[in-house]
Amino acid sequence: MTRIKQALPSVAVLALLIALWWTVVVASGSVIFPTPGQVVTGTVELIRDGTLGQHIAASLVRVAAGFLLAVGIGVPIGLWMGWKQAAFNTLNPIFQILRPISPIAWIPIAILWFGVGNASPIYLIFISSVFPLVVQTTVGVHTIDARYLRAAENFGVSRFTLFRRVVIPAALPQILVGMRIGLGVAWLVVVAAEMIALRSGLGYLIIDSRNAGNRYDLVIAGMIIIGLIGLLLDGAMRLLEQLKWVRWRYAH
Amino acid sequence: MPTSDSPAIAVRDLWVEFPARGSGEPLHVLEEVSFEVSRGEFVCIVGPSGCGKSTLLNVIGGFLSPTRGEVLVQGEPVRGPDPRRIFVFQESAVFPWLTVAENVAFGLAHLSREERARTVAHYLSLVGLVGFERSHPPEISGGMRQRVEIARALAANPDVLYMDEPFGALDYLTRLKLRADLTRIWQRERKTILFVTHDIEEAVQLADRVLVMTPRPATVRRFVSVELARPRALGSPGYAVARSAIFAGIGVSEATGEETAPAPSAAAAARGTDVVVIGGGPAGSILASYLGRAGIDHVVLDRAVHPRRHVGESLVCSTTRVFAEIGFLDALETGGFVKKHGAVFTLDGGRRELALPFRAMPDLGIAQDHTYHVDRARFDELLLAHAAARGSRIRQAAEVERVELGDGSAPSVRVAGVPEPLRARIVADASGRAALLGRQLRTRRNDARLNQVAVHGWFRGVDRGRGETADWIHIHVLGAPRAWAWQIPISADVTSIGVVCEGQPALGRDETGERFFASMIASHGLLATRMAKAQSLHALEVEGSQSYFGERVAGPGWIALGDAAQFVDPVFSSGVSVAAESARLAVRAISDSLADPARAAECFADYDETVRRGGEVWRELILLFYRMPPLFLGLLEDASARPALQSLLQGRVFAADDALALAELQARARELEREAAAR
Repeated sequence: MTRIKQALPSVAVLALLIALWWTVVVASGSVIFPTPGQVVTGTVELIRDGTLGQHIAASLVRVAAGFLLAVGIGVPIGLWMGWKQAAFNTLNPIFQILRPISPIAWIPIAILWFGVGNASPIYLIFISSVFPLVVQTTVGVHTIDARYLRAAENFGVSRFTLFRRVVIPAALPQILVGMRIGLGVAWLVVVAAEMIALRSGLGYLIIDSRNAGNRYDLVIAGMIIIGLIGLLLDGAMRLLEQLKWVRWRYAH
Repeated sequence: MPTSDSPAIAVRDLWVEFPARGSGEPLHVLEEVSFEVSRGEFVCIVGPSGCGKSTLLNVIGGFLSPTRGEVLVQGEPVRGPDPRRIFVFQESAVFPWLTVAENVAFGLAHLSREERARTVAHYLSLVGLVGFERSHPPEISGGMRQRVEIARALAANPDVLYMDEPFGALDYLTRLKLRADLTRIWQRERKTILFVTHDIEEAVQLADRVLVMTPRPATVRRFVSVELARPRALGSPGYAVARSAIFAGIGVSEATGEETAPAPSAAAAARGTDVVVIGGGPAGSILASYLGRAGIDHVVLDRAVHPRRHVGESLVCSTTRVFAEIGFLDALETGGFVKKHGAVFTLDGGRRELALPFRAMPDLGIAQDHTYHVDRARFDELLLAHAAARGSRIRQAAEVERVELGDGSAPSVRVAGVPEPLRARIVADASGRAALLGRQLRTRRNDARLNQVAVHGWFRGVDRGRGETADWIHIHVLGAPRAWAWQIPISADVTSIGVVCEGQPALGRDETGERFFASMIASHGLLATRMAKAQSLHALEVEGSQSYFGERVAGPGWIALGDAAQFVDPVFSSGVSVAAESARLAVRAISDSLADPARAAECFADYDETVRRGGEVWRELILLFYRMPPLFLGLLEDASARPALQSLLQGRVFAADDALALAELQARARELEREAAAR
């Protein structure tokens, strides 16, 4: 009941915006810009012929590949930098320079190195999400409460046990934060990457719809779907944060 | 009691200094901390907040390196943390991402799966957490988390537990409960525990001994032993006494929380002082209290970290003046000590009994007609606490290696493990029967006429007799030559019984002492009856009781007092009297000689003469008793002799008049002897 109450204003505003959009389009008599109704019809059309599913799947696969690559490389590097001050001192300045460079700026180089196949967008996604992962993992290790490390040291456990039972679990909440940020950026970047020289994906759908006959109803349909999927991905990452072995961090 | 050679933990001359930040001074946190902890002992560390208690524990635990000094655990230097010694933190350090059971199993990787499960189950049940195995720490209360931490520590089966304010963050009732649990667990597992707390109540409830630290730079101010049965109720009389001793030790008023004593610093002490007092027994503590009142800067070097256990002693009335002068009489009166209103002598197996009720001594300013029986462990602690509370700097566990007297103008004392000698203007030797200076200067002489030995112990269930004399000291004269037994009440139900006889070297061996003790008790009908239901509280102790005296007890730059000056056979409870009276005389000699160094030789010569005369009076009185106890006691029934004898027995022996009184008494005794022979 309260949740409905809470959602009510935003639903109302949304409805108002759609109504405004519809009114403005009808009133201006635009033939190119679609009404909400046309967007819905276009979407249904895309679902019927199966292309929407293919585009979504293509985008998700690329994001998954780039993102998992980033996790697989970024988390170990982050743990290492967090644990060894020398590694941090060496690598941190380099990462700090690379981090602010927009992934879009990497596009020409990506095409030069990886051509116009799947590898380029996967690389772009990797490069965009690996930095938040490294940074957050490092922060995660640096902010482990000293008493946990002392306690572990006191019990004289092996280095392996120390990492498996203490360092990684203790840094995990921060790693998850890094993953959430990384996945958000990855989803942002995949659309941009697909707008160049690819024949599938939601980014391609948008560019192709415009180029092949100014189908702005499909452009807008693509945009809305990108937004919705981004929302779902973020929601999924938030669910991870509810897991028992990381909830301690957020409990207090 | 622990019996191993090396103590569980030995802290030797620990200094910790944190480097300066920016241009500031480096931060001195610990200075010259030395103490020892026995195996299985529960020691609490208390001190003002921010004094460096936690730093000390972290150094001992191996998490911090000291600037100087070392920590030995079972004789081995500590190089870092070790699973044999587990640290328990204030903010629970149980891992929140592991379940309760996984936490307890954390240090148990070396065990097989079944063993691990068994160990975890055992310790979880010990701390009362059965049913919470699969919970995560954030799901349980703070008190339960600390229980998990304790279970995890115990499961690793360490020899030592270091606990850094482990209950500090919990509410009052939870703390009470956890203390009770910890006490129960400790009684069962007998780990050595070093427990830091700022809560004095907590320390008194938990510890065998409480280490009281000074404000920063912190050093060991003193130890307070808490010898109360567990579990300990807040508010019991013994509890209140121990708590007061700690407040006094910290130098804080119990009523107002205000500081009562300036903060001492060992570093300041190293730069020199007016008087170094060697020994923290009654003589040293009383002298320190006097010096404090006289405003004379001094340091007490106390070798004994452990108090003297199971020694009971009766005081004589004259000491009341000394205790009143140093402001200690209230502590004695309210300290739960048994009041001593007189002495009873029994002869012929108890068929003859003579009672000597004590009298006030108004000319000495003593209004009360009683003195006290004291448990020396507690008495010594309270006296030292009293001195500490009044500003005496006390360095415990300070073993004096040598006193450098030179020509007496600049004496210094070498303390074991301290490179710099401690400089002073006067060295006061109150080292007790070790008689440090007496041995070094070869002035100590045994009195061949009085070589006794004592076999003694504490008992429950001794029948002390009836009526008002029950709590008086009883001297039972036994059949063997020069043999007698004391009966001294220590508390409502504990009585000290000791048999004294001529020196027999064999007594120390095997069970000879026990057998001898039993046979001597059996030889005295009344004593045997009184001891019929007695239960021994510990093994009997055999103690040499050879009387000795110093040929000189003061000289240029030095002065000896108490047992360090002379030791007299204990039959008339003269021990503390010698300590108290010589301290009283010593402070006068010291303050006069400091005020006018030209007169120093004269002051010390006066002291020397007075103290040796007092000792001589005691010894002659005792020899008179030994010569023929019935005759001696007959003097008590003799109208012309009784006042002098009573005065001497009440401890008036140090004045020139007292020596005259003794001479008259000896003459009267000879007369009586002749009369008896003529009859």
